[in-house]
Amino acid sequence: MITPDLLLDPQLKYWVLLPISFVMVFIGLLRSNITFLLQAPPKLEGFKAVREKQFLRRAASFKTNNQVLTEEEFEVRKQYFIEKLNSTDFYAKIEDSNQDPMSQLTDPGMNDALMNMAKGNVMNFIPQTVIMAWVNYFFAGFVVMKLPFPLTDGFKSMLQNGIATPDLNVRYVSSISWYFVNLFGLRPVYSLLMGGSEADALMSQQQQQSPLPNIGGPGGPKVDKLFKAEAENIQILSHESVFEGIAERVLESYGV
Amino acid sequence: MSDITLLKNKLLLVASSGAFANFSPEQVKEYNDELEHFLLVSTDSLDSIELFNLYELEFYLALISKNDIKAKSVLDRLLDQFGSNKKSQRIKLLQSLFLEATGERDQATKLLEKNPDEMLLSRRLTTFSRNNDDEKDNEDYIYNLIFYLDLQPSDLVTWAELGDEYSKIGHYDKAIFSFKEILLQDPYAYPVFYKVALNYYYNFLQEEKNLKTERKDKLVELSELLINARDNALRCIEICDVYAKSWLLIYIISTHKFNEKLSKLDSVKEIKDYLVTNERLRKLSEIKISELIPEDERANVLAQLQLK
Amino acid sequence: MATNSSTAAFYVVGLLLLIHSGYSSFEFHKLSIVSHYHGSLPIDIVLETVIAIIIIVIGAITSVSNTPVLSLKGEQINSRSKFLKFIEMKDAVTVIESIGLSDYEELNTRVGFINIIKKRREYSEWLGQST
Repeated sequence: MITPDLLLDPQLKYWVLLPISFVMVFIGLLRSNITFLLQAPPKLEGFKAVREKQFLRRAASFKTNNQVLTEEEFEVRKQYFIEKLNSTDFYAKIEDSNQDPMSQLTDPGMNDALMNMAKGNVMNFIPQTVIMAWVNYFFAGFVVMKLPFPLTDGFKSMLQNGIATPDLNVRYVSSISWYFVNLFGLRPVYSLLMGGSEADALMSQQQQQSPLPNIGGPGGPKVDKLFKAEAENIQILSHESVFEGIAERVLESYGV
Repeated sequence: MSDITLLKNKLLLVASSGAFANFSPEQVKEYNDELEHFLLVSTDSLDSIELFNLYELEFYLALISKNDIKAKSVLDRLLDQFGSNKKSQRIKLLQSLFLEATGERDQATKLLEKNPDEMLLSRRLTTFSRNNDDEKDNEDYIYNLIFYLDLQPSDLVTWAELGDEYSKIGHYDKAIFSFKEILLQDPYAYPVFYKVALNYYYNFLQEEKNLKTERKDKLVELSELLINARDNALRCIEICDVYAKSWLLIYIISTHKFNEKLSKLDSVKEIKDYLVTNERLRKLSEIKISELIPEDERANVLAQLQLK
Repeated sequence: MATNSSTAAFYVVGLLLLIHSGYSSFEFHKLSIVSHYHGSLPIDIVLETVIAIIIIVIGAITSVSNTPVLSLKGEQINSRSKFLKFIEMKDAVTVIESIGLSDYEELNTRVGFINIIKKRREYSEWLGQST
């Protein structure tokens, strides 16, 4: 069965296809630059909060790595951690248990975090909505290109969004679908244009620096719950030392 | 892979590992020249992280080699290119070092204690209580380190510093505690296992010197220190079997005179096991040492193991 | 540098073949439209493409090799394993040990605690000796 080809005006390429791509790339660049400018510089955490987190981390690593200790060392440290985790010595701040829950909302730290989240979301959604409206307004129902390879019918809803012709060959792409393809496919282009590898390196460096749990932040668990849970974990810990029979092990690995 | 990339990797490794802090003066000079030449030729090919690290290295080397003018100019360059928000603790740390080195200790102190949340700077502040002339007089310093560790319980570098300070004044049990604290958070840090072993061994030497009686329970107590030293050295070997110093320690322990005294205590099970494996460990470590350490360096390394 | 030049050779030959086969296929399609010919692509073009891709893949595989490292003393050290990095820690640490460092060097050097005054004194003493 040979269906006659749909003849596409070559001018479509210059006036619809490329403009959509260019606009999206430029707006994407603009957006990431504005987000960068809006980003608040990373704030230094108070030393008390850091102390609390680091202590929790120390307790947690005792839990996982206690095999490097001998039996006596293990017992001494176990008692120490249980005692400290059950006291309030390492709390960043001691809270009233019967505090008004509404007062949390006026906490400045909380507000900052919420504000940052809101900013990020706004910067993500507004430009996308604007471009989509623009494409829909000017190029609604356009068939902009024909793919050079055949596809199955399953791609119809993806490639021919916004055209009400159920029998059209799947190889034709509508303008709004081209917009979506760009939306998801332009990430590598951005990282190429903005030197993404360096940014990634910075990002991973920051993540390495603070693998600390988020205590008492928005949505985070409360410190006393965490400390109690950790104390219980340590209470039931059993100990096996890595030095048990180590001489035999080493000698064996050399076949002596 | 071109030579220039190899050189870059090496310099970056030196910068990030901090190896320059233990360089001999010859090495400082050599690296100073090498780095200067490298930066002259290929600054453009570096990304900003690499550039920062290398400038930092250049600053340290210049400061150590008493080239204050160059150190100042590197510092200004760092501030120019990276210090836009004036908040970087790393740059402030360098500034304070410069002030300290040029004798303006008060100003350095002022810079460091401005904000208690800047822990990197508070850490540097602890070193101001160190007696730079007599390393054994470090009571204040240890007190400050402990205070800092109470605030930052998982700062491994400070634990290592504390361990070494204790080791200097012969508090080997406390040194071992500090090093074990590192191992708890980094259970594969084999050089630290070696340090633990070494401190157990020093502890043993210290106790042995004070040993007056030949009573059985005393000897068992001492043998425990020796066994612990051996076990930690073996753990280091287990993770990294080219760690020559650790093999040497095993050899020394297995050939120690004290083992003869122990042979009378065959009835205790631990000691019997220890003596049986000792002989085999001696042979193995002899082979390994002859593989790893060249003949002419052996005496030198041995001398380092003596109790100071 | 032998691996590098052979890799380059593989890439060049593979790419040339690939471009050539692509051009042939383009010509063929042009011709078949003009002459209303409805046959499939000739087997030699397909073969050429497949061979080109295989050659490029071989080139990519031979380009994988461990780079040598410079030790602290400036000697070039080649890794014991030619192509891939070691998986077991016992072997993996030998690479950095051969440089003269370890992965845990910062615990040993402790730059944050550097005794700068002492280092400077040592340096000037050395200078005084050598001149």
